[in-house]
Formats: sequence, C-alpha cells, structure tokens
Amino acid sequence: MTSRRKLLHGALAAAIGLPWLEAFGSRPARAQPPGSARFIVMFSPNGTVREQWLPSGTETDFTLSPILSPLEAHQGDLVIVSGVDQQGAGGDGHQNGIGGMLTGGGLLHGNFAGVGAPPAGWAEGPSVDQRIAEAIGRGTPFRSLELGVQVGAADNWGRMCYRGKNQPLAPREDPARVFDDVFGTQLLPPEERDRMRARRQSILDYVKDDLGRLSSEVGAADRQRLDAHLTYVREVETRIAQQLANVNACTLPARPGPTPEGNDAFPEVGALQTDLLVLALACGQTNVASLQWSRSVSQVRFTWLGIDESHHGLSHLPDDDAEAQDALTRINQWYAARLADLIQKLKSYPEGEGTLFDQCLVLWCNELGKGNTHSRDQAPYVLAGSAGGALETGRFLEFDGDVPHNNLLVSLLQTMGLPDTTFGRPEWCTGPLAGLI
Amino acid sequence: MGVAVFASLGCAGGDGAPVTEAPTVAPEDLSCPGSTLRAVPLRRLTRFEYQNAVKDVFGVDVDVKALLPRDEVSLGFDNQAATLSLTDLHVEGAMQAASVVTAALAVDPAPLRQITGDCASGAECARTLVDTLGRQMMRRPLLEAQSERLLVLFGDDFSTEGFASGAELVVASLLQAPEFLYRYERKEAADALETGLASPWVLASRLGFLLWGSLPDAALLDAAGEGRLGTAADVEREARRLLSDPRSRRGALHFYEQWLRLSDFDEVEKDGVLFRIWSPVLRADLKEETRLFIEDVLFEGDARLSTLFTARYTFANARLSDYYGLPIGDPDATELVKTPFASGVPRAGVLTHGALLATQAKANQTDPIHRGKFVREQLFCQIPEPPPPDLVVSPPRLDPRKTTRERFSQHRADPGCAGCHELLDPVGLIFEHYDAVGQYRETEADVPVDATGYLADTDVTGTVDGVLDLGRRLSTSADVRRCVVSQWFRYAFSRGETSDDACTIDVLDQAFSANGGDLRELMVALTQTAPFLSPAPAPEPEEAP
Repeated sequence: MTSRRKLLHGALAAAIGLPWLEAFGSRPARAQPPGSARFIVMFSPNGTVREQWLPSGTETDFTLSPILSPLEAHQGDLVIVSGVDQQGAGGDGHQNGIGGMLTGGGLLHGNFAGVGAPPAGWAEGPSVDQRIAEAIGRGTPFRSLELGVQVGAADNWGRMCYRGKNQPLAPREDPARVFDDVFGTQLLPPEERDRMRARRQSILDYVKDDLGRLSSEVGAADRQRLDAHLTYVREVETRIAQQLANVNACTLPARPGPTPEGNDAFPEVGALQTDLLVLALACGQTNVASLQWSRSVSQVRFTWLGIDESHHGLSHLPDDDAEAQDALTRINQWYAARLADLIQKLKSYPEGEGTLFDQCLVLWCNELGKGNTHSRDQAPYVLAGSAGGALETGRFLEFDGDVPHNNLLVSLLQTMGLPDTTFGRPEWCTGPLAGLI
Repeated sequence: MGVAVFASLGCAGGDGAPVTEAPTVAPEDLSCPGSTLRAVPLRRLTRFEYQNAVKDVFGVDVDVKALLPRDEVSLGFDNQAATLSLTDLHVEGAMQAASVVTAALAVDPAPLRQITGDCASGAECARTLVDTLGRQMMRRPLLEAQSERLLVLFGDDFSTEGFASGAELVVASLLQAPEFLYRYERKEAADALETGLASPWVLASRLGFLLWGSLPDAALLDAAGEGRLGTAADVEREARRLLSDPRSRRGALHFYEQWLRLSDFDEVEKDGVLFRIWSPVLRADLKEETRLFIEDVLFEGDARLSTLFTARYTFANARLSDYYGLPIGDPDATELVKTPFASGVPRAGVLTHGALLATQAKANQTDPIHRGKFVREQLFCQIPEPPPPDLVVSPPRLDPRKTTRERFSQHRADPGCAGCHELLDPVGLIFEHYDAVGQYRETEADVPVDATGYLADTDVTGTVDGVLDLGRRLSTSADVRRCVVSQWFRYAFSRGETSDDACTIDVLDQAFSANGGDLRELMVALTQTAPFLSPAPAPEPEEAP
C-alpha cells in the first residue's frame, strides 16, 4: 500500500500506465440497474460472399447460412436484413462505403486520394450511433465509446463514426489504455481522487476560459473548431466528475497488459476490446459503443485460419476462384463468430430480470456488399438484441433490392426510441424499413 | 476545400492538365508580389510537433504514440490543416501528457529552475516562470490577461511545497492551452504594414515549425522581440542558423520519411516463413540506415536531390552488410557506419534501400502496381485515374511457377486494366530485382529476373533497365524536381497547392534548379516565399456544419 501511495503522490495522479492495477485481480462486474437501452455497432470489412451469407427459409422459419452458422445459439435473438442497398458518394467504393455506412451520407471534398477516385474528405454528417448517443448518452461518463482493432492509418478509409460533418471520431485501439481511461480513476485511493479532481478542474477551468477568449478573436470557421474543442473539454470535465462520483459502482477485472502487436495478434486484441466494450456498457460508463475490426481495405492476413493472403487481396479475386471464395467465406464466418462472442458476453451480465443483452441493439455491418466489384448493393446487415423489447427478433427479412440503407438507419433510431423519420441524405431515405419494427 | 492538387495521368479520360502554368517571375524574386494567398483552418500541433515542443522546453520525452491518437494523414503528410481533427481523445491525451511532464519535473525540476533563473522572491519567481514559459510555449509574449489568469492559478503559497504545486498547475495548464495546442497566428497591431510581412512572432513560429518541427527557441523569440526579424533577409539569416542546429535534422527527416512513405515501414508485415531473414532487429536497422543516409546527404554531403537517387554508399552494420551482400568486417559490429559500395553492388541511393523496397511490397511478394504508383505519385506528383466502376479488379494471384512479370502481363492483357496499368506496372517492374523484403535476387521461378521497364508520360520517358538506371533518369528529370518542390510546399504550408500558388511553385522550382537541386537551399528558399512571409489571409468561411 505504501509504495502504491508513494507512486501515486503528487504530479503523477493521472490514470496513466498503472501496471500495479493488475494486483486487483479478476472479479465479475456488477451490472447497473435495468431499463436503459444500449446501442452497439460492430464493423467488419471488405464485403461478404452473398451466396454463403444469405439464410434460407421464411421470415420466422429460416436456416442460417454457412457464414452465419456461428450465430446458431443466438438465432432467436437475430434479425437478418438482406437486399438493402448501402448508399454512399465521393471517393472510392471502400471510402464512401465506410463513410456512408453509418452516416447515410456522402463524403465531402478533401485530400484523401486513393487508387481509383478523385480525392475525398470526411463524411458530410453525423453517424447513426452519434445521433443515438445524443439522445441516450448524456447521463454516462462516455457519451459514446469507439473501440477499434488494428485500425491503422487515420484517414477516411478507417473512420465510420462521425460526431458531425467533418468530425471523424477515432477509435481507441489500445486495450490497456482503454482500461485506464474508462476505469482508471476508480482504482485510485480516495485522497488521490480528490486531489486529482480539484487540480484537473482548475486546469480545465483555465483551458475553457482561454478557449473562450481565443474563440472571440478568430473568424467564423475557426470559431467552430474552437467551440467543438470547448465542447469536448466540457465532456471530459463531466466525465471526470461522473467517474469519480460513480466509484465502486462496478468491480473490475485485471488491467490488460501491453497490447500485443502484429498481424497475428488481431484476434487477441479484438477479444480484449470486446471484453472492455461489454464491461463499459455493464458498468454504466456508456450506453453507445462501437467495435471496428480493422478498416475498409483491410489487409489482415487470417493466418490463424490457415489463410496467408491478405483479406483485401482475396476480396478482389474473381467469383470463379473457388479457393478465394472459400477463404472469404471462412473469414466472414470468423467475424460472425466474433459477433457471437460479443452477444455471449453481453448475456453473461445479469441486469434486472434478464441480462445486459436484453437491453441492447447490435448492428453488424460492412462497408461493401461484394469485394471484387466494390458494390455496396445488398450489403450484409445483421441485427441482434431487442433494445429492451422494442424489436421483435428471430427473423429473416428479405428485401428485393432498391431499398436504401438509410431506411434501416431510421429504423434503428426508432427502435432506440427516437422520433426521427429520416436520416442522412434525404433523397436516399424513404422512411423506416418496412416491416422491421 | 476541393483543391486541384494533382496532375492526373491521362489514361482513362483525365484531362492531364498540369495545375500550374509557365514560369513568369525571375528566380531571384521568391515573394511573388500580388499573388493571392489561401487561408488554412486553425491547425493543431501534430504528435511530432507536440513531442518536439515538450522535449525542447522541458527536456522530457513524452510517448505521444501512447497518449495521443494518430494524426490524420492526407496528401501523404500528417500536418494538413483541413484534415487534422480534434476530439475528446486529444483533450484526454493532452491532460495525460501534461501529467507525464509534471511528474518528470517533480523528480527533476532543473528545467524549471533554468526558466526562472535568478529571482528574488516567490512572487517574482512565479511571475518569471509564467511570463518566460508562457512566451516560449505560446511563441509570443503572453497577453496581460493570460499572465494574470495563470498567476491566479499559481496561487499565493510560495513555500517550497506551494511553489512546486503552483508551478505544476501552470505547466499543466500551458500544455493544454489552445495557443500552445494550435498554430494560432494572432493579428498584431504591429503587423508590419510597411513591409507587408507577418509579425515577427508569427515568422519566428513558422521558422521553428518548418525547420525544426518544433517551437522557436529563445534566441529566435529574442530576435522577434528586439526588432531583428522584420525583413526577408532577417528570416533567411535565422533560417540558416536553424539549419545549422541539429534539431533541423529531426525536422527535415520528418518530411523525407513521409514523402518517401517510410512512415509506413514500421507497420509493414512480412511472411516470416518465406523470408526468414525478416526480424524486428533487421527492421530497426533498415529504418536507421535510411535515416542516417538522408541526414548524411542533407547535412554532411552535397544535399543534392540527385545524390538521394544515385549515391553509391549507405550506412551498414554486420547485419545489414549480410542483408545487402556487402563484405562483413567485424561480425559483431552493431553500429551503422558509412559504407561505400564496391563496383558491381546493385544498389544506389534511397530507392534501393531495404526500408523503401519492403514498404512498397506485399507480405509475400513484390508489388509492381504499388511500386509504380509510388513513383508516379510521390516522385512525379501524378495520380492514376480510377478503374472503371464495377470492374472486377483482380490482381494476379501468387504462383510459384511463374515470374511476377508473367503474372502481371496477363493482367495487363485485360483491356479494362491495360490503360492505366500500362503506366504503373512497367514502372513497378523496374524494381523486380528486389524481393518483398528488399533483398536482391538474380532469378525468380528459376528464370533470370528481367528488370526492364518503361517510363511513359514524363520528361524522361523511355526504356529503363533496373533501379540504378531509374535513379539516374530521375536525377535529370525536371518533372521530379518540380514534384519535390510541390511536396515541400504541401508540407511547409499544411495544404495542397492550388492554381493561386503557381507563381510560388514556379519561383521555387527555378531557384531549386538554379542551385543544382540543393535540398538545403530549397528549405531556405521556402522561407522567402509569399505564403511564408505574408500575414495569414483572412480565413475563408466554411460551410456551416
């Protein structure tokens, strides 16, 4: 105890790199009171193999496909949505795929130049998770929590969540750092917490004053930037206060060690991030979270499945390349198993009469429908969970194409209790997805 | 912000028109009188700049990669004003970085003592700390209101413990203050109307960030404060002083590593079964080799662009000598030393460095498409046109019975691909002697490697045989020279060039050409141009969000 207090004394009272937290050991978290719906996005890249993805049967009596077979244990909790066309504009297919997937809009002009298209910028509007966070994220320390797994470069191929126009949200990629940021303050001794809170408040007050002063000196465009900065400072301020007020609301597992690096660590990092995401939801740290596996144009090599070629390279091979189609099927199947893992973990936290999962709505999405044509048509959407009974699950909904995915986004908003009737570009939205809710 | 940056390759309907027009201004006049300047949005410091600033002021190494999110990269650079975002991750990161700095200062307060110097009373020392540190970090004297605010934060307890606590609060606040985190250029009443130059504080700041990737030092701020930074000649003198300081190596390398795409090298993946030589230590040595080489060319050698492409030496230790097939002297030598190439060694300049070759390759094979794209985009500033929509884009599969050239010739036989790939693949195939980890190979699939290729649509168009030949050709290309100028422009001014910048690009290009492609002089010349010397233009209104 003495050495820990000594280390934490004075200037070091920040939740950074606290390896001794591992001594706290593993205990199950305690879930928060029932009644609050949660929204989760899981992304996997490079399109799917439609023939291997599409379930067979009717809306309520269907058989899962080879790709979706890892979800069998949860079939009654799913809504498979087929035949919806993902909209997007600006940049190349991967760029506008990942940029439009959750925003229902296009990319602005900009300087991200890839192969094959005029340069494009960030998305032109907020993503659906952020719209939801605006409505249900306020009472929690994190308005939303974006987690990623080996996302790589900070460009518009690697961003799916947008706070607003031109405001990409970078996912947090280091599990140990996520642990510290989300739970670190809970583990400080009370006197350190109080000291840290007071000092951080003084500094943040100064920063807010200075931002306000500077904001009055600059032109309109820069003022928007500084005002956004000020909003984030206020959020961090609230976050600290809420985190410190909610101490001991939740017991925690061990802090993850240093993040393993390299291609082959992909599954391990992803599992850690999944654990942390579920824990943050269970512990009332956030109501809205996302898990971004890699990025569009993902070059991950699925060596643990015996696949040495990169995912993106494989996704470009022709339909008649049986070996490639088999590899792509197994890769997508692996991602389906990650969704099953996420669902299973959400189900492991009791909440109210049921589990945390009962309060959740999960969207699994992809920036493309098909890799080798970059087609966004018939993109693969899977929903899981009922958001507290708002959504009837155990269904397979097949649309005939020509249905814009903006309609699905609107339905997600409505499922989460929002009154919205349109989302994204108005001309891409014809109302909620018929028959979903 | 749609900026016409690239000359496009006219393979699929592009107009191929260059952005800029013929030179109109004499090379000795770099300031392009009357040219229109473009505003850039308020830009935050990059991780690189933040780290350097903290190091230079406090002597503390902050692991910014662990604390701050990655900087957004566009046009190949991490400092593009319109692209850099700021979210709560930055707010949290700056807070935690401040804690790292104050923790280090709590252990060793020497840097703070140096800043306060001799001061008589607690109150005076606090005032000195606030004003001196404030000027250094904000790159100008604090406004009185800022000073007062920080002194209130400091408090009035000047006991040893109280002073330490006050200093910690001031340091942490300055490290999170907007005028530290952003490259804000305040309009000064004294903005030299007579000369039309930006204020001396702004010029000092621009010099520091361009040449050191960091804050201006005290000497530069003194020059600004004492009226010795009011003319273009003053700026040139200070630019030369900064370039003679070791910190300029750090600043210049940051440009070259991004221009040559070496910043991607750390994350390059290789197939460890196919390439048993590949290891973390080899990667570290290759990275160091290229850094040492570029530094040597720029600061010890003739600083010529042509030398970058043709130098017949590198830096190697035993491991790299083995990798390159050079004679190994001391087998235990780990330090990289300057090593000339004997005649017949198939290497010359940075295009044959392992780090560059391995970056421009896949995990298990070479990558003619992306090697060709690298040459087009980075060295000629051309951007290939898109594949037609809905074309099934299928690069050839790996096949150990066929050479890369054979596999890619089939792919180019497809009429949908041929148009553009005739411009990419024959350039990439020039690199075929170097495998996916950059090692030399005489044969592939039991056939002697054919490294001939064709460079079309350039001012050095023709058949090329191997990378040494390519390097010689690039050395004589005016297109490449001009592209280097454009790349430096983007890096220096945090934005892509537009037609409004034609004059500046022209005069830089002419000056660069006149001094034989001297890259150090190019850095000096950048400080003599209109966008560098002029006050920031009024920002263009952004569309409402």
